[in-house]
Amino acid sequence: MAPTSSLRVAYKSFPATPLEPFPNRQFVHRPVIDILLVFGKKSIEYQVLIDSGADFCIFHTEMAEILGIPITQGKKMTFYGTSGTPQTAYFHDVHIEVSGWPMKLYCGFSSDMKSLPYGLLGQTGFFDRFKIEFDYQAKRIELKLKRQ
Amino acid sequence: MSPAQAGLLVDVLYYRSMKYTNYHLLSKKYPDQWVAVESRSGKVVGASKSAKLAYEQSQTKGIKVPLMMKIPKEYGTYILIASSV
Repeated sequence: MAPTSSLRVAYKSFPATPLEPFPNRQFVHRPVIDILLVFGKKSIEYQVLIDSGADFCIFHTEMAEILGIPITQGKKMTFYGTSGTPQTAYFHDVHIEVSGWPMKLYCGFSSDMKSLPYGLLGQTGFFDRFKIEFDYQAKRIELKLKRQ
Repeated sequence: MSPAQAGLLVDVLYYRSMKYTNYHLLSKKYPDQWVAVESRSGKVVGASKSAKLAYEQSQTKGIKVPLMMKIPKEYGTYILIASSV
């Protein structure tokens, strides 16, 4: 059996306004983590949501601009969110580090992410590399990396 | 080699709790902007509608690897999917 490593990270809590169906809501707790995003000699830290509803990993196009990634030279894909509106992403190979774990990631960059505060870590590229346990009550995520 | 690379169980909960970020304050002060944050101190070292400008501000302040955050007017409610079909 391949050796595994485990990493536990905390959910992040963000301020939220009360809503009619949730009048006591003050915070939302989300499985958002900080990653290091690397391309060539440049790197930045970036916040991403571990999102089991995302088929792929999609980041803000602004991150590609900062890192000097030639965005439109990537492979183009149309994707959809809950609104059904078509959105565009261009896919590139980058390197990321998750709390010190370096890994290659094939991810899309999209200019249609403007309303979102985070990038998305989805099924292909992220969930297929880890066993992921979400413990909402403990506000903790455990990532188990299968060495490849 | 980091502890994680060495295959050790790493619990970063304590570390993360030390890296407290006041999202409430950020959303009041920098709504709809990108901010560059010095991740150890949580200090904002760049802010702009343009992520690249916020990043460049951080570089002039000597923060080579800032944490780039998009600050929304409010953190709202999301149901997120990204599907190719």
